[in-house]
Amino acid sequence: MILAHAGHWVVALPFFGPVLAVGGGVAAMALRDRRQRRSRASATLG
Amino acid sequence: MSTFAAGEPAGGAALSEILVATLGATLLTSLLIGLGLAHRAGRTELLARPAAALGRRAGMPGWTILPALLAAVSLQVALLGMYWDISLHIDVGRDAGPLANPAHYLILFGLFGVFSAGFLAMVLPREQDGPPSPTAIRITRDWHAPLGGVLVAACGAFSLIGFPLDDVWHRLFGQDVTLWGPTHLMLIGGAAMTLIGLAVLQVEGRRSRTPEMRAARPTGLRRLEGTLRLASVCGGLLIGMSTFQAEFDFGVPQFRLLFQPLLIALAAAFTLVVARMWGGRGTALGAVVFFLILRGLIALIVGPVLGETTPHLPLYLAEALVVELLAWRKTTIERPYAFGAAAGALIGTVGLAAEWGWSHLWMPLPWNTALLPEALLLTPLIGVAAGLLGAFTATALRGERSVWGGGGRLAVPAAALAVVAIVGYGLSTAPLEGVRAQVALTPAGPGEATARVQVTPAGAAEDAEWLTVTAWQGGGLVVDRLRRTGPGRYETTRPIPAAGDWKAMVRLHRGRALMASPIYMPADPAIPAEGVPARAAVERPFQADKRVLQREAKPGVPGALTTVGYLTVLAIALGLLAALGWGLARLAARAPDRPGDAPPPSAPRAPDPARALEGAPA
Repeated sequence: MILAHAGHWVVALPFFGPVLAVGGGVAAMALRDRRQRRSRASATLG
Repeated sequence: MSTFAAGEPAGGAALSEILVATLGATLLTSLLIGLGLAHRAGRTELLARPAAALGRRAGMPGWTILPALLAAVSLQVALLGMYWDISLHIDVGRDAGPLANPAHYLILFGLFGVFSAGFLAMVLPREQDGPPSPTAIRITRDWHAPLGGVLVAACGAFSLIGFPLDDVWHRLFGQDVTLWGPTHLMLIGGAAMTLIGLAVLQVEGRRSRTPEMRAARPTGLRRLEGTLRLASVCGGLLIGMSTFQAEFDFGVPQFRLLFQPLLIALAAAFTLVVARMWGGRGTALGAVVFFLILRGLIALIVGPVLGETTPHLPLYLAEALVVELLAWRKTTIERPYAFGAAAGALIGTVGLAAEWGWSHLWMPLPWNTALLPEALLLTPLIGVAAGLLGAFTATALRGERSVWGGGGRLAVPAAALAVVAIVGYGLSTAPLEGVRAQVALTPAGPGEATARVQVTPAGAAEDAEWLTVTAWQGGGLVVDRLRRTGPGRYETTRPIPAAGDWKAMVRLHRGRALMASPIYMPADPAIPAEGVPARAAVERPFQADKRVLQREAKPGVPGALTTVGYLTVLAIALGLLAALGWGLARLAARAPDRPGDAPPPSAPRAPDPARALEGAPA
């Protein structure tokens, strides 16, 4: 049933735009920052 | 209004409408992100200037005031849209599409405004002097977002994605013509919880005032502004918590009548405990006055002005009075959880009695003795549970580190479980078997008739919570409580529309049974559903209420898919609640301990609303 509406889901995806763009963007920035901090910390310890 | 006729599509929006909505959402989001990034890079002062001006006036950081103002306006727009939308669905049925209903625009723009307010609060602080507040969340090395902004954005996002998910839900399961559909609850629940995020933002802002802001002597006007801001945040929370009662407010509930006193006690106990403990003396009453003014205005606009069915509202005055009286002696709120439980118990008893009386004055379905055994037991219980949750929230907002102390570690999870258990108990229904309605119609004007109803067995409708003839979606709403004329015999008290687009039925709610027997239903090829003709005399069985009221539900949907749908929405909702709980605990754990910022509760202090906003007990 979900597959039967696959086309609709694809078209509806951008409709989630505000949340996906802002939430995804902020989350990606925070994750990248955390990764960088972690690698800096391990380099200092090493 | 009758353009929203029965021939409208019933299984999701047309692709063209989705494309238009997508285009609009993409444009607005691009503007929002572009503005935020440009502000952080220092390329524009479009946000900084108004934020600074508003902040100077209020003696607060601009990143608190500008988003709070935007959120407040947006929430009111969405609230009006929501009640107008519900009244439209009740009066004219489903709409031709998501963009064919004018109320949807108010909801969409309102929710987008709420989400934008959270985002603006996140991007506004520029951090020349480090993070904007000790509770701010690190995004990057030079970007710390205020906790309240993150919570408001999360609540706005939760609410906003309810809109497209609602359309997907309609496609998979058919339109769920009830407020308590999972995605509908996302829409209203997210918006309601925004107020918690806004309260957190206010506390964060007060804690982060510069020495100049702190030194400025509060004028009478600023004090008044502080009082009004507190009353409006708490009143807004009361309005949000009360949105779940809307089906009862309109007179077409599809759930047990028991829920109405339960939901009123839940909203009152949680919100008024927060208001009194956080805001200080008079704030619980102020919150109720704000509620009555705003909801009263919306009732006026939706009913007499727009010409749709009027949404009624609970009074909450007795509940506010008992909370204020209980807290009259300052010592009572020094033990937050004891105070929350006592206030909840009073709301569940004294408040129940007052709302009982009010239901006979102005509610479409007055409460009767059929509610008594369960309402007397469960309303105080849910009141106590909600009072405990309110005490947790208020303790966090007051900036006390002992949010889990004083029995909180045990009381808070137990209270949350009690609320879930009581709601779960109320949701359980079972139709009575073998109950039938013989209906005799007598023409009483064009398309209208009076009805005599014989219920068999004769005792099936005795001591019922409601027995009505309800007609809706034909251009209005008629809820006629039947008059008993003999054993099992009842009659309408006014003519009932039973032609055209109207859907007319006998509705019976007794105990755990919610049933309906159709009198007249138009054919609806879009579902598809066959018509039920209005006959001069006919006998039809009572069936589960939902089968008559929600004809749009698609038959034959695999049970597993339904389970996955409900579990997905539940998981998202639990995620949001967990985020709010985490945020409140963080606010409490990182409260300032400088003298004067968060004094111990026993310290004598004159009530000062401005201080309460900072998180200190007033």
